[in-house]
Amino acid sequence: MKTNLFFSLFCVLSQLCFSQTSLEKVTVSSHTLTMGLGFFEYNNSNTIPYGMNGSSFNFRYRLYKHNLKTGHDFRYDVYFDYSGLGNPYIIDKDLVLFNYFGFNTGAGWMRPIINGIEGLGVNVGFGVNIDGEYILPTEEANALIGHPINFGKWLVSSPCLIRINYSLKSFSLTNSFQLPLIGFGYFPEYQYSPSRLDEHYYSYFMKPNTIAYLGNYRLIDNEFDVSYPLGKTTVNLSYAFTTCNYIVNNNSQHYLQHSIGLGVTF
Amino acid sequence: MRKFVCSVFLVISIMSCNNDIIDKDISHLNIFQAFWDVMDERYVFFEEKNLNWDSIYTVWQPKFASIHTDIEAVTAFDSLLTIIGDTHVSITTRDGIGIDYFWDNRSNDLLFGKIYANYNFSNIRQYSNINLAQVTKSIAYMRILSNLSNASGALINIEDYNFSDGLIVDLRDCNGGYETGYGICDLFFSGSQTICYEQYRNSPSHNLFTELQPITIKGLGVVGSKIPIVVLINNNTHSMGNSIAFIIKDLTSGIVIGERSGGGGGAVKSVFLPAGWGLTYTYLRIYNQSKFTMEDGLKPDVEVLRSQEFWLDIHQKTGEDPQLAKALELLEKNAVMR
Repeated sequence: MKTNLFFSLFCVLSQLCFSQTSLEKVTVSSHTLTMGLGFFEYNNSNTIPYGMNGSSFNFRYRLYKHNLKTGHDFRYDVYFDYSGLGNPYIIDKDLVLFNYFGFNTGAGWMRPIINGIEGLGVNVGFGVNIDGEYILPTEEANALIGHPINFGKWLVSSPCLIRINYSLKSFSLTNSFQLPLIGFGYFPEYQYSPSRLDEHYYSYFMKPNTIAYLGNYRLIDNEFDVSYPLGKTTVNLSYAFTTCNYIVNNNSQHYLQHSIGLGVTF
Repeated sequence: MRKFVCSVFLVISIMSCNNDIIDKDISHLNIFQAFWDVMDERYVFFEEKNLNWDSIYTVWQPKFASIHTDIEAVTAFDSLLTIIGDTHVSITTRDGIGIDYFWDNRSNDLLFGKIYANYNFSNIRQYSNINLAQVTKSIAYMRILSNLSNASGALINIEDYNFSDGLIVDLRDCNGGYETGYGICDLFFSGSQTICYEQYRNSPSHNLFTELQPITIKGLGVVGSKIPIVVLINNNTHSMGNSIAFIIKDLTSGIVIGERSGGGGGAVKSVFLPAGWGLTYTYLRIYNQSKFTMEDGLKPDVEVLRSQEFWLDIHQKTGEDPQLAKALELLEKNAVMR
């Protein structure tokens, strides 16, 4: 009982970003919108084997519901990401040769774990995510090398979630970490792709063909943010990085993204 | 708890440190190494070209190790591509210089404008990468140009032409296009038909391939089976043009006239190598209906050969076209006999 009370109080204090906190309510919700700018380095053995880099732009919407009685959290995320990839060694280094599109949405449930440190909250849990990515060569890439091709995948996965929160006067420091543990989805086969003349061309990519797990697929998504209340809203400054490393169907993909974001919570 | 939090941050920090996503070695030796690796893992015609890929590495790796300028590297790659002998394999430098086996070995372009005028073509219509014309009262002409894509007989009004005594399909100088260009073959049959097969490597091992994958399309049957068809090909009929020639020959009782086609029985994709260079290579093999490789080109039923001098001189001046003349002669003779 004491433990539950302690965590309920702790979470109320630490989650300064929660809006309209009311002790009469069992749950409090917060909505956070973040726009990010960053740097992206990418390769995959099939279409960009020696790597490219470029600027990235992303947008994230996150909903948090916090249960004051149990201290449990519910999280829902939608994330879009665009990167223009260029080759640092061609004559025009600013030319975008591939457009990278990323999408991720998912829900997660977390419960608090006892840590005994005042002001520090640690929540751990699991979720369900759907993510996809698509890499499309530009006309400029066509003009330079002839026949660059597209590449993409999608995955439904169950990530483990860790959220660490620390309150420092009016500031709230939060680190959100997720790592998919197992999932299924479509990953490109080694060389095969159905003919565009095939009537089942599009449905082929809808069918899952791979079980992904930590042994063959590692995606780490981590975001650290500092929140400060400003009037009725809370402003967030965040640093996020995502790294992905997999070898599936003898194709490898590897990328790293660093991003700085500015967001508001209401 | 402190240990737990520290461990999480340590794992995150380690994962965020990574320097090997972009290959930063811009030496010519590394470009060669990347070329060799991509071909080793992805190229499909080692057996057909009798290539001992390991011995190519042994011979060429030391040569590239001693190269210091792009010009030397271009010369070396030019020689190497000649050994490989695949018209689909090419390399581009970071300055956009193309190193190519196909363009080194092709014939001179035909002057189609002069041909159309010289043989009194009428009602000439130009669709996207397809030309239609009436040659005689009852013989029509269809020319398929390079870079044809998303094609279908439904997109052209060939019904407006009279081809009761024959249709000439001109694939000369059609040196490539897209797989969706095969769709134009729907003119020649009804119902669903397997027009060719494709085969892919399914692992980094040179000799492991997928089963043959049938490419099946629905026909429109616009050109009936009793219509005499002549297909014109030359050395520049390559890749998609080469495949369409094979497909029409398989689907119809058409006669192929001209010179052996340039081959290219595969599809390509391109990747950037280190230092901004590019490589285009064949990543799948195409087979005809009889599961025969298209890589070596199609031998015509009726060979009509002329010297380079003829095409460079007389043809350029007059538009004279002995291959088209032969097609007309055969179709008109056939019309009289019918």
